Amino acid sequence: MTSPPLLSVRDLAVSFATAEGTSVKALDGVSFDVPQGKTVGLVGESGCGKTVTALSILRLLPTPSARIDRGAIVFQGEDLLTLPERAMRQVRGGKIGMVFQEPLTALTPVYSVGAQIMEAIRLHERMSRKEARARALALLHRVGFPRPDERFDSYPHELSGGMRQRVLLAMALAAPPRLLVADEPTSALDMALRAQIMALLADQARELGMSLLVITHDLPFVAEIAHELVVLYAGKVVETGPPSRVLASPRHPYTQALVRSVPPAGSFRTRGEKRKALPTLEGSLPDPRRSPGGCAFAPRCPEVMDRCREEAPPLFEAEGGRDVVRCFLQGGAA
Amino acid sequence: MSGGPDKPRSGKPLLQVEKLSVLYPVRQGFFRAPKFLHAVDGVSFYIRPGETLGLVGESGCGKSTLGRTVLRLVEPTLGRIVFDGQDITRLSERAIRPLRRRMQIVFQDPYSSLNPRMTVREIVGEGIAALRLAKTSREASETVEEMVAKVGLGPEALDRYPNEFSGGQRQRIAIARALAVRPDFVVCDEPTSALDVSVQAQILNLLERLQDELSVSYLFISHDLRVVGYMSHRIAVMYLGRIVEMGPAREVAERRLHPYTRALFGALPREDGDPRPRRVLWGEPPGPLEPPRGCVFQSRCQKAEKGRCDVEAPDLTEIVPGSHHRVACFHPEASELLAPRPSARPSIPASPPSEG
Ligand SMILES: Nc1ncnc2c1ncn2[C@@H]1O[C@H](COP(=O)(O)OP(=O)(O)OP(=O)(O)O)[C@@H](O)[C@H]1O
Ligand SMILES: Nc1ncnc2c1ncn2[C@@H]1O[C@H](COP(=O)(O)OP(=O)(O)OP(=O)(O)O)[C@@H](O)[C@H]1O
Ligand code: SF4
Ligand SMILES: [Mg+2]
Ligand SMILES: [Mg+2]
Repeated sequence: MTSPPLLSVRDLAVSFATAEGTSVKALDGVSFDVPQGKTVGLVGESGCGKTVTALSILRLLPTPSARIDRGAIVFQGEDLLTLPERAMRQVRGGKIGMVFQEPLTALTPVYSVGAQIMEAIRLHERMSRKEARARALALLHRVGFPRPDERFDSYPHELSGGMRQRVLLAMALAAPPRLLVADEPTSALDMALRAQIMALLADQARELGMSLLVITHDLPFVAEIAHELVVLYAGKVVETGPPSRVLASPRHPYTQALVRSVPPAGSFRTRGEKRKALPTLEGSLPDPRRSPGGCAFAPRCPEVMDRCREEAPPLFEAEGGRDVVRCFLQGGAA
Repeated sequence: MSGGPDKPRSGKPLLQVEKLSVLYPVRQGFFRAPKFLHAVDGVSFYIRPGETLGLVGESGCGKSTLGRTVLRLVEPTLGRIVFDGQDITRLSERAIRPLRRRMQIVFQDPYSSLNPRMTVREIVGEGIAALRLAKTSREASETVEEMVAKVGLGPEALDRYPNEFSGGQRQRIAIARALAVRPDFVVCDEPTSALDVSVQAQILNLLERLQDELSVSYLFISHDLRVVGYMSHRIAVMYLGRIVEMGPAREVAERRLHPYTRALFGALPREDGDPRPRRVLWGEPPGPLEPPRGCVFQSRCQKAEKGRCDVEAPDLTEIVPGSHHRVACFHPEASELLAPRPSARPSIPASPPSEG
């Protein structure tokens, strides 16, 4: 028998009240698991609900506008959604670490980055200032600051974009979490640093058995680091599977379009010369205030059939039941 | 070999930057005198109308500082910035205001640059209204709606506030705001870093189309070497505040004359899916508080020559005259390829196409 997953998100639905008094559905029945010691990648179009998923797990959705309509988030056998806030505070930055998407807004502007990392360390472990400082310096070194003491007293605005992102990662690793939720942890990093951070995360996973839920649009990165990929579209899971399979032979028309849009290497420009545009997906995500019947991808889908506009496709099994795909084309004639 | 200022051989550049330096004072403890961090160190380049200059280099090397300084959002310490023939290095904020429309920026951290109390319609329309770019309010709102649609947001986005959007949606709001006023020059600082590849393709197509139609120039900063290669006419490679290589995009991306460019581009994932370890950088960069004497890259360079590279700083030099490909290195890579060949590669124009 396999052991139960560390984290299990079940039928999660989240909506937002907007200023105009309407309600916006951000997540609509999302389910997936993060197994013990494994890495799961969450990908999908900008605005599809990745950050909302992450914030739901940490119970950090903005109040009062966000509402969890239904679902459960089971972590180590407990539903985080029913935990009292005090217990939740222990989970945050303790068993579950988080790297936020926008570093500048996640850091406190008036404290030095060194002080902020030390605080994150001392929040979960009693130790002297001196020890905490040494630990903070070591963490900074691990996330790619070769001379951490030169940066210890810097304020967030004195660091470059990529440096801030790495400071956030150092804070998230301050108390080694069971689960690290990382929202675009490498979007501001160059290739060499990205490789270094990737290796660091893989080490943490191996040495400490840490599980990782990584949100990213960096497909080569996720292909290398993740065991399982979850593709979201308009607040719903549309495809899952191992990254090697999903990226090489995507089954859902959205995933196919996603993979196709990578700019080709070796195409260079000449001034004043026009060239063919990159293939894109026409249109945008559906208006989240309305929920039309049918498949959410239908208005943009190159494969759309009459049926897709009338009926919402369920998740169909694919790859012999290993993966799932939300598309009638996978369901055979049934 | 010439080490003179880098200028286009024909036509007028839109932006000309000469020996620009930006030093930040850094305190380390209360009693010590402040030291200076050389974020940008003697950088010169030009950008022509309708041209994209890609800017790459590792995290913290000074790209954002350079981009903000040429727009006078950070004060230059030394050097000169000339925009469309006008020296703007020391212009007062008042005198520079008329130029502000023409020079826009998409910030690396877009959220903190969006006013949380304004709706998307107001944010994107602000410049159009302030600069009276539309004859009627109807025309103004049409321009705003069109711009918002072009960055891939639906009409329902118009009356919502920035905090109601995802990271990538905010980045696109910032792009729409910058492009709405029909600028001549835009600093794009990691403009697609928060976007998935399909929306990224939409934005790249938009930037390129506007350039074709309106001759906008871009300084395009990105960590994604594939995107930079695809978008740029020329590429500048920065290391520790200096430009170490600059030239036509194909030349820089394929020849990689500077050992640092080798390391940087060598880290690209391989096309053929070969899993062999990628070549990344060895060692660590020197601290920007004490830039080394001699070449900035020497501490990590396998080709560093004692007595030369640690003594003298190599100039940014055109190795094949007329190639517009400059490198600051005493031992550029692949020098064997550099012997003048009778059949010069067709991609190296003898002189850039003339303006107009
Ligand atoms: N505070 C909020 N109020 C109203 N709507 C919101 C709010 N936060 C997010 N949304 C909406 O919820 C949807 C999902 O947003 P989310 O931030 O999860 O996207 P994402 O997948 O992380 O996208 P990105 O890749 O661009 O960061 C979006 O359509 C967004 O507009
Ligand atoms: N306001 C400031 N005060 C002091 N130092 C600063 C300030 N802004 C930037 N720096 C320093 O200047 C150097 C260059 O920073 P910059 O933001 O230009 O880097 P970057 O190349 O854009 O990096 P990234 O790719 O990570 O965004 C860094 O060492 C940074 O810490
Ligand atoms: S269900 Fe229909 S519209 Fe939806 S993705 Fe499949 S083919 Fe396209
Ligand atoms: Mg997000
Ligand atoms: Mg930057």
